[in-house]
Amino acid sequence: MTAALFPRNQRVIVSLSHHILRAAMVRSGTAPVAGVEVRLALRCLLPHCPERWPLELFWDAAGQANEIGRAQGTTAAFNGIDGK
Amino acid sequence: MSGYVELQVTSHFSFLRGASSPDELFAAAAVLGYPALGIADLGSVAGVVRAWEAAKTTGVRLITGARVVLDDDRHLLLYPTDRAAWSRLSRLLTLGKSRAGKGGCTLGWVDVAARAEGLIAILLPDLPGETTAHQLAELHEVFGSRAHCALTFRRRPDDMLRLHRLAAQAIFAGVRAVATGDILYHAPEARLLQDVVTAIREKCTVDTLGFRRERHADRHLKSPQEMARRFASFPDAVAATADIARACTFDLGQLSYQYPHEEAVAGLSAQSALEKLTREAAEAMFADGVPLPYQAQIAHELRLIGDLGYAPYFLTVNRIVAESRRRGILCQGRGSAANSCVCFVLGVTSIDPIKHELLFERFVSSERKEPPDIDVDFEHERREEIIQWIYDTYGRNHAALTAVVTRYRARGAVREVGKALGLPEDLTKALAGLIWGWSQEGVGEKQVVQLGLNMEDRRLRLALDLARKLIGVPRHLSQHPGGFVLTHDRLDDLVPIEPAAMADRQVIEWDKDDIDALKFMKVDVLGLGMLGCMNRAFNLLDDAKGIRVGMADLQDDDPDVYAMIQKADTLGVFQIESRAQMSMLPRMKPKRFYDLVIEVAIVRPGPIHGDMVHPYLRRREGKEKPEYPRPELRAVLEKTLGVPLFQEQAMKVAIVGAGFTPAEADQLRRAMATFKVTGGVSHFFDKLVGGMIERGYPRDFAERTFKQIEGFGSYGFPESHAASFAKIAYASCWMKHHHPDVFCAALLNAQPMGFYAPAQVVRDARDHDVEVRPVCVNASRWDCTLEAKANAASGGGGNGRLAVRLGLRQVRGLANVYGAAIVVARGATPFGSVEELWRRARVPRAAIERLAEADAFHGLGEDRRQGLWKVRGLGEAPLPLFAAADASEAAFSPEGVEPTVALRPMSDGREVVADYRSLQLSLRAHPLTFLRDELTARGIVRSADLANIKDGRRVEVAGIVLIRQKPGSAKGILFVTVEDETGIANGILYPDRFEAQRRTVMSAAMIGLKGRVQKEGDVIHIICDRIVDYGDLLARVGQLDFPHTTGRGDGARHAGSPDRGDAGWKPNPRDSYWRPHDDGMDPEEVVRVKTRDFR
Repeated sequence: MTAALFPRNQRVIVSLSHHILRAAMVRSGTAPVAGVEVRLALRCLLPHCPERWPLELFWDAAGQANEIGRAQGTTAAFNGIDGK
Repeated sequence: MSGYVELQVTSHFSFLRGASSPDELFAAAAVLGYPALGIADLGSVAGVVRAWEAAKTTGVRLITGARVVLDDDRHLLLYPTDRAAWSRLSRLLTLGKSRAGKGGCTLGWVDVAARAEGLIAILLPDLPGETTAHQLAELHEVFGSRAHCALTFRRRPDDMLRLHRLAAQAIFAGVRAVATGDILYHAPEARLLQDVVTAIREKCTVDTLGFRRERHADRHLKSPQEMARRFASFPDAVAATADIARACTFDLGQLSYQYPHEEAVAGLSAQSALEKLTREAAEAMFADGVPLPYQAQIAHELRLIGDLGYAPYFLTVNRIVAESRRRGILCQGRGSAANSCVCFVLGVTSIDPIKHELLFERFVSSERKEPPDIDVDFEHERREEIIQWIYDTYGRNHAALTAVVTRYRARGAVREVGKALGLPEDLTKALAGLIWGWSQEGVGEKQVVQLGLNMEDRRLRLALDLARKLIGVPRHLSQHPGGFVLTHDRLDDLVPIEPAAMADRQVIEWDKDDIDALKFMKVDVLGLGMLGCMNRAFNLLDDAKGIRVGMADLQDDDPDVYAMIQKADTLGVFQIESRAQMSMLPRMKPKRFYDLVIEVAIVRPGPIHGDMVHPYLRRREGKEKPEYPRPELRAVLEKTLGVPLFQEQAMKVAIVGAGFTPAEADQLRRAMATFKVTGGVSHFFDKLVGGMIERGYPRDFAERTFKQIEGFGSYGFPESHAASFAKIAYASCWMKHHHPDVFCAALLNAQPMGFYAPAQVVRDARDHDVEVRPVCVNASRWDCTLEAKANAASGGGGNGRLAVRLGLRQVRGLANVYGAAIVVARGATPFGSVEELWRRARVPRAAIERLAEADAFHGLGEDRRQGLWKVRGLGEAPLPLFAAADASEAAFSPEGVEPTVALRPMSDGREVVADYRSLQLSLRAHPLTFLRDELTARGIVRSADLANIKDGRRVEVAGIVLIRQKPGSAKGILFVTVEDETGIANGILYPDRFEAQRRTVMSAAMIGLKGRVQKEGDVIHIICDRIVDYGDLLARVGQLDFPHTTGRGDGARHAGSPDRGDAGWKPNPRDSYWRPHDDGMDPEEVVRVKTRDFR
């Protein structure tokens, strides 16, 4: 994510959102992580992501029942968000 | 129609006698119009199952038999008429084999006579005369109307007269004559190969074969009409062939196989016992009550197991695993067995099939009616204990290993045919050297021309042609690594058993495919080197650091371990250590256990051919959106981001997406595995694609899915298998990360195994701050051990790591028994000198010489040359007079000790060369250290420098060739790994470049990789254009010292070298070593690193 180009207040928001999503991704192997903080983080990143699908994928995967599928989905989505 | 049936056919399972396979013989028989064909191999029925399969394919009936040669040189063909007679034949052959040992069959007439009931016997007489008359009379007496006398043309003068006389003698003895062709090959053109195999068997050339050649060359299969024409004078002998064929009703399909009864719980049937054990095990596993999904799955599995009668089989495996646990031998089920919840709760497998949503039908299917296949891995080195336990428990008449048919591969075929045709040995060696070890093709014309040979030479051309034909021909039977066949009734009633080359082992004559064809149940007791390594590591950890852990204690979730894996720092660990795996790891960045499961499964020919790897990686890296056209497919594929990577997923896609039943899906999987052979996959295409379109999937998605599954074939892993392997991979990574010292020692002790040689294992350990100490007669045990570091009062270094002491096992050529004797003799009192070791340990001088070569006396102040000098002064055993005097004095008499001689020390390079020769590694320096100046002058960069060189730049890196790998899935691309003093460099050679430089690549010990740098993240390859042979440089290492560094320039004030005036200055010993021998003429100069080839 090219966060360095943003103004400071946005950089902080992007960084915190990133942090929340990373933590959620780590937790996703054991429990669903489709909580309000994840939703907010994704919403915050929406204007900064050139493509919407990684954010949707994260949210979609975060609520899945199968823990392996959930973890795989959030990891791939996080990699997508991170790369953008 | 003449009604002639050929009854004397020898296939190539009469090793190095017959020249054609059963498939070729039956295909030829079908073309020639035979209704049936009798296969009778020499003292063996090894080929009958292959023949039975060929018979089913061609429609020509198989008449199963064997040919035996008795101790009075009487040749007989024996054909069982029914199932009972087959058992007698099988027992007869077993008896002969038990007497003769591996590969032989020693029988007498008495043995045959005792088992004659139901067997048709055909005597193969030599010449008419008294002996034949006597043999015919005996034959009639024992076999009655089932006795026959073969009439066979020999193509000698007066042949017809001989046949008439034999026929007359047969009639006189009351024995019916029968016409036979004595067939050795299916068609006339196979005759050349027949001569070659005869020459190979007789260990001579075809030119010197002489009378050892087959009597005549007319030994191919001829049409029934032609045989009737030739035997027109003996119409009854022709009719007799058909009568025999009619009488022999035995078919291999009649071999009703019964699994041994298992009484695991007294008074309960096998099914009830299995249910009880499973219930108890499940209750023990889930202390708070067995969750519903597990209960339902277990009930479903037990019902199916009960319906199919497989309970005794599960109990057997459970019993074997329990015994293994009792003995402290690590074991783990692999393969599709891990799809079973019953196996999971019983502890046979370690993967939870509910959590992983595994498909039980992949393992057992009601429609397939095929026995399940439970493979269990045991520690490689202790597997023999389990094998012997099985023999003892089930009895040697009821248990035996299956065979493996060892066949000629390309290299062996070229070598053997070359020898048989009298080509010079250096020529065959050069030709064989050009062949990739696993190749199924012979030597190509281009390669021959590269060697500067003339392809117009008839003999050379013939040799290459015949070598190509010899590839795949069986050479001998050996034992399967661990496939056991167990039976309730006597096993030798079903199949002959022969003693294996290894003591206390016995094998049946049929291999794994034969057993599958006959639907016998098999328990695979396999050896896995890494399990042995892990057990050693756990024991070492307990002994040296007091930390007690086991496989079950490792929880798969240590982020530090995954961090190590993400960096591809996985040298030596299980499965994910190969080049391909390592290059995938930085892209995959495994974070949790399931990522490892995928990592294990993805670098396989199936996913690679099915073009699944890149889509998966793109999705994993967030570069591509996973696609799930319908929600039900998402449930199947979301674990792998929409790309089917496992066999179970392919099956589930068919079930969920196209409405297949589980059993149909399994048929699809099997059809995929064999579609290249049978071509029977097209109706599955219609069904799968049609089914998916019907259910609303887009056509292109359906076709793509089919293509992926098709590419899969049998080369994908079942998920359960990948998960079982991932468990071991994680455990080995955990050990490597937390205890690299323990891991290094355990891995060295478990050698040979894995991709890497001890030199790389040691180097990797040193890179992880592990101190590795050299072999020492006063410190080393047989195995590598862990020692406290001198600078750590509390038994560990600053990082808590211990030092690894190389064991005596590293010393090349030192037998275990002598190593152990030295360690025992040392006890708590270290050896003071070479002589003392020799006298106390009482091992042969040669063993001590091996130690001196390994520089193991350095602890006594003797360098390698000095040590060797001392050893040369020793006798084979201490002289009795000195020994007696020493014993009484409890000291060594000076007369018995060699006077000290000071020798010039070896050059540094020579020491390194000697280290490599003796230990396969050197703790002193890498051989290329000595060559670096020269290499730098030539513009060759170091491996470590590659990280700082831009992508796309042209470079040259030189190193010792460690690994050549040519995976089948890589379309002829060769991966080559070279090592210099800074690390390893990986080269990629495209097929055209490889072919152009095949000779250098295949034969040079040190090469330069010239080409372009290609970087993908942290993974660096060199796409090679040229390979340069630097073998000459490597050969010079022995002459070199460490590179000299320039002085400080203030030599007047700080002398760089010892001076006569310095304290403790001693003059150098007189240099009396003969220089030419020291430097130039010694043939032992070259560093020898054994290159490992993989496919």
